[in-house]
Amino acid sequence: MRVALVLFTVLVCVGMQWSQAALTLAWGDRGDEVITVQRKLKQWGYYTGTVDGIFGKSTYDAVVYFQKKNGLKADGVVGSSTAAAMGIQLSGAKQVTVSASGYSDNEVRLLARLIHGEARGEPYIGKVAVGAVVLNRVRSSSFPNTITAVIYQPGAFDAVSDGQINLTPDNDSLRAARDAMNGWDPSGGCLYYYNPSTATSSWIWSRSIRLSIGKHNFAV
Amino acid sequence: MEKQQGRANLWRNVLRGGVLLLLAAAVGLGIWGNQQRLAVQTLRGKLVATQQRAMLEVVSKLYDIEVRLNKLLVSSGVLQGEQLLTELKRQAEDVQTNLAQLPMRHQAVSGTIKFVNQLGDYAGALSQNITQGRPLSDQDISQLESMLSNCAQLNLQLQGIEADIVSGKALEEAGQLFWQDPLPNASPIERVAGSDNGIDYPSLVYDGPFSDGRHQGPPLALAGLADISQEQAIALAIDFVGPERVQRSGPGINTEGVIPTYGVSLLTDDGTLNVQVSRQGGKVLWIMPEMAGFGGGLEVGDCALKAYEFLSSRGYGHMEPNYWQTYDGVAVINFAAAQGDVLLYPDLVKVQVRQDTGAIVGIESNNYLMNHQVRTLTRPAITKEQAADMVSSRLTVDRTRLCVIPTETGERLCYEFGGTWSERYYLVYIDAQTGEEINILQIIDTEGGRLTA
Repeated sequence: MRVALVLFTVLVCVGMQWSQAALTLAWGDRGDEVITVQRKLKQWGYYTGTVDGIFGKSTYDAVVYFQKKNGLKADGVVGSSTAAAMGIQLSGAKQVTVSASGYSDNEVRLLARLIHGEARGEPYIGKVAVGAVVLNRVRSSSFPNTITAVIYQPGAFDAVSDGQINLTPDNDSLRAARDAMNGWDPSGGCLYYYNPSTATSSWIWSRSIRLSIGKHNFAV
Repeated sequence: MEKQQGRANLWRNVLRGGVLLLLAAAVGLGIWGNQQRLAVQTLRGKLVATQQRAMLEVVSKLYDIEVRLNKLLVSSGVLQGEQLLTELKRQAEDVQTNLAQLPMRHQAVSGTIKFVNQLGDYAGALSQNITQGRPLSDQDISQLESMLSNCAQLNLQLQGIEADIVSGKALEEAGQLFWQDPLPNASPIERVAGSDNGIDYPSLVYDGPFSDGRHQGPPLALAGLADISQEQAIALAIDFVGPERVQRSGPGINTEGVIPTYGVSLLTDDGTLNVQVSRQGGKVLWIMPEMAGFGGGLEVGDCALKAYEFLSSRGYGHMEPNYWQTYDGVAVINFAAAQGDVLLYPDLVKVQVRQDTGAIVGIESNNYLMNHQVRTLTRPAITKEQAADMVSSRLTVDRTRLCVIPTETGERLCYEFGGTWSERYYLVYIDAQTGEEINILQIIDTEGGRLTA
């Protein structure tokens, strides 16, 4: 019932545009992708301004400089070839942050980062299962009550402890986060998952295993 | 003779130089090492400070909770009771938030997290009861008394190790890996907050998400249906997806949950589709495509139409689309079942449609299978016009309909009023029996989805 209620009132509370047209970054854009571009250009000495996520004149100049130096069309727009030359992937999303009472924009991206850090090499269904475990913990009374608090509970996830959560998530991880938030739960309600070849805690081994996907056992 | 002497001198000088170099390197390393040690010490100090703050907040708020529970049990006034309950709920949330920041093993902290979660939840439910004119019942009083007794025991134990907590020693000894087994000489704080602290937490029965009395009933849509076999599951999956689309099929990963399923893996033109078919009744629980990243082309409306046709041809009956979202070349559209002109929001199905070809690549119907049944709807006690009076006059209403919505405690028949205010669209739900305003949703239209908040 509560699941239905949550799904009903907060069916999908993020407004992210994944329109196919916006696969470029140009003057006037803002956001994380601009930060990535600025950081890279700064690293290589093309950009001397501040890394502030705002694509203005100095960023434009830096992109043109980079494009000239690399034999690309110097139009100041970071399209697919410029992005490839920089070694970054543009997801094509212009962020529209929408305030919501349920799963916010930030929580989707945080969950995606966690999935990316924890289940990068896993089959897609394994990624969604990791996301679903986080959401199941939110619903459980023995765990913290928000996605952020569950993910950042000290020691709960290796990806947080070793910093892998700070990597930029790929498309599959983002899609997996959204699918998990939309109700797809390949784990069938599990609260725990672990890698059987590395887990040493006898307590976690004592949990009832529901299924195994890729490198992980999922348990309840 | 002199040449030998010269060579020996050279050797000695080289040796001397080498020793001096090594000495300098050792001293340099020592200085660097010390600097590192100091830096680590500073960082650890900062980290411990934040964790210590969280720990001390837990202790002080748990004490506040005990005080308020005591007051609540001797209060007879409605206003005072309600205020105390609201404060209890807030403080329980605070304790929970701070507990979640402590670097303690899951087993060492989960017992107390559960306790405060239930306490806060329960306090909230009781507060709502009082607002609606239902004072504390005898069962409520006795449940509150047992919670008070637990809280007091917890506080007593915390008091016992107060010196260790304040000095930071308790935290130091507690830091272990999350899933690690307890060490033989575990820190006393672990024993207090963990599930083996000797405190018998009562099982609380009330109306709320963390209640122990809340049980998820059996899946209504599968009632009375017979079990199927793995082979039948594969055949059903192929049939559901469409035999003309399936190139290869085989068993997938089975899942056990509230609705146990057989997994089927199908290779289609849209890549591999993972299908889960319920063991009871052979209904599809969900389908997920292994890959996406499809192109665009179709409007969401076209995708919704394709999804609608798919659902009605697969035995879902008349379903109405309401919300949608697009990501990675897939349109995810949410449908609700309809009974006559009453929309049944608890019976939800989500469909994933490829935005380039319109092919159905995903479906999620857990809510539908859990909740769908033909309902005997009681006639509304108030008319549409009476309900409209309960809606705020600021809203310019443009449509009304009857619907069933899920609530924390079950389902309610409501009038749904859709209207605009200040350039935003809202849905207001008025209980059809009591005229109460149960819920308000704000519709958010973006290029990436029509969503609610």
